[in-house]
Formats: sequence, structure tokens, C-alpha cells
Amino acid sequence: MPKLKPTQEQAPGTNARSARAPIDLEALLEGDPKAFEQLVHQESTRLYRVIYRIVNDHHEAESVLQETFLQAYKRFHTFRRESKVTTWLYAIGINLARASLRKSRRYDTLSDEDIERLQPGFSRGMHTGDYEAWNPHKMAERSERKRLVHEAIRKLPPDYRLVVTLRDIEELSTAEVAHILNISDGAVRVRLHRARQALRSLLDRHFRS
Amino acid sequence: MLHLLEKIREIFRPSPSCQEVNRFLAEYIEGVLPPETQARFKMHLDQCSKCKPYFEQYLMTLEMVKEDEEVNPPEELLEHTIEFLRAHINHGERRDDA
Repeated sequence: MPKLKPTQEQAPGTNARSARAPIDLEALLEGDPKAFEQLVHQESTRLYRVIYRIVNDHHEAESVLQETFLQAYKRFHTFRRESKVTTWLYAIGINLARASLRKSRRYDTLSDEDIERLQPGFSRGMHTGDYEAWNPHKMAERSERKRLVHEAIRKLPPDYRLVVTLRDIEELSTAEVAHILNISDGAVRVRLHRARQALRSLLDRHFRS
Repeated sequence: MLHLLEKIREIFRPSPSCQEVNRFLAEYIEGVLPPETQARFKMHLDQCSKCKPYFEQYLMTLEMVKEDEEVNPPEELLEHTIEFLRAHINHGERRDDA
């Protein structure tokens, strides 16, 4: 049985001892407590942020994170080595977070039809909309700008918010996101593009001159 | 000779439409399009009066999204997680293959 010890001398996310140090995969898969603890130290903060952006509730995000690590520990023997172990871990966390969201019915987001309406229009291959540079004065107030962007991201439907979170905010590669979501690289880019265009459109009403 | 023919073909190739360029913006930004397509898209985005400001806004949106840091995990997150795992792994739940 592993002896997991809480490490209180460092703040979450700093991970001074284990930050980016390679994890001994063989030891991890055999249930070595030190390797498992290293994984927990290394991935908790980022995985928490991803989960939070799905469930949108701090208490629930913490609960899902804990369950994710527990599930991973119990299922290491099912890890097929077809991806990085962290990619596999994220897939577990995201599935649990989606299940939690479905259960809680905390839906306060745009619909797929809304996303479609926020895409640019074309006629005979040409843009139908008129676009002007955004007003720099309206974009200058940093805290207000950040609030607007955060609110726009929060409004995205869960699947769109997830791909933006993984690819644009957490900066995972397209291939990693595709593996986590079990879709093709092309499908990741299509969803990401539609999400970015929807965000652009949502922000446009605040930043236009 | 082949090189020259290719050059001539390139000159007379029609420019991509706004819609074609827009459809592959994510690929363009990621740099995964063939070099020739990448160059043609760049030329369109530099010169088209509609696509140029649209693309600038698209890139600004991307930059602002990247700086979104509003999610701050609770300070005790790691401590709570380790405590939870210690309780469940050491004293209760066993590995599925155990």
C-alpha cells in the first residue's frame, strides 16, 4: 500500500520538487507511491483548471479532481501506452467532469444554434460583414477586458469551451487534444476555429469603435 | 523547365476566396498547410480589405483568450487531494487488479 504524504511546504502549482521532472512510468504503472505522488504534484493544478472550466464550480472541480486521480490509480493496468500517461489522465478527468456537468444540469451556455449565428457570413465566397479595427481605448482597461473575455469563454457550450481550454489556454498540442477527446486532429481544428470565431463575435460588440 | 512551368502556373492560379481562407484559419495559424497554400493565404490576408481586419480581430481574440487566468485553484488543493487519496488508497479502496 502506498504511503502518500501531504506536502504542505509548497503552494499548489509550484511543484518545486517535482516540476516537469520526468515520471518513472514503469514505477507509476506498478503502483509506486512516490511516482504516483509525483504525478499528483505535477498535474493537479492544470488538471483542476481544465475540470473547473467544464463544471464551473470550485467545490465540484476539487471533488472531480480527487476522483480522477483515484480512478487513474485503480486503472493504471488498463493504460495502453498509446499516448502520454498525462493525456490518458486528462481523458479520465474530462469524462468525469462531463458526467458531473450532465448530472448537475448547470447549463447556462450558448446553444449550437447560437454558435452558428456567431460565425461570419459569406456570399459568393466573400465576407458579407464589415470589419474594422477594434477601438484601442475600449480594449485598454485590462481588468474589464479580462472580465469580458472570461465571461465570453464561460458562455461557450461545454465541448467548445473544452477545446479552447485545452488548446489555447493550456496549450496542449492538437494531437494531444484529439487523443483526449477521441476525435481527429481535423475535428479539433474545426471545433476550435468555430469557438474562436464565436468568441471574436461576442467580443466585437464590446470592442468595436 | 519544370520549375518555370510551375512558376507560370502559380501566376495564373486564382486567389483563394475569403471563405476558403476563413475555413482553414486554424490550420494556417498552426502552420500545417502546404507551404505554397500558406503563402497564398498570407497574401490574401495581407491584401483583402475584409479578411485583414477580421484576421487581426481573430488573432487578438486568441491572444486575449491565452491570458485568461481567472481560474485560481484553492490554496489547499494539493493538500486535500493527497489527504483524499491517502484515505482511499491506504485504508479502503484497492487497485482493480489487486
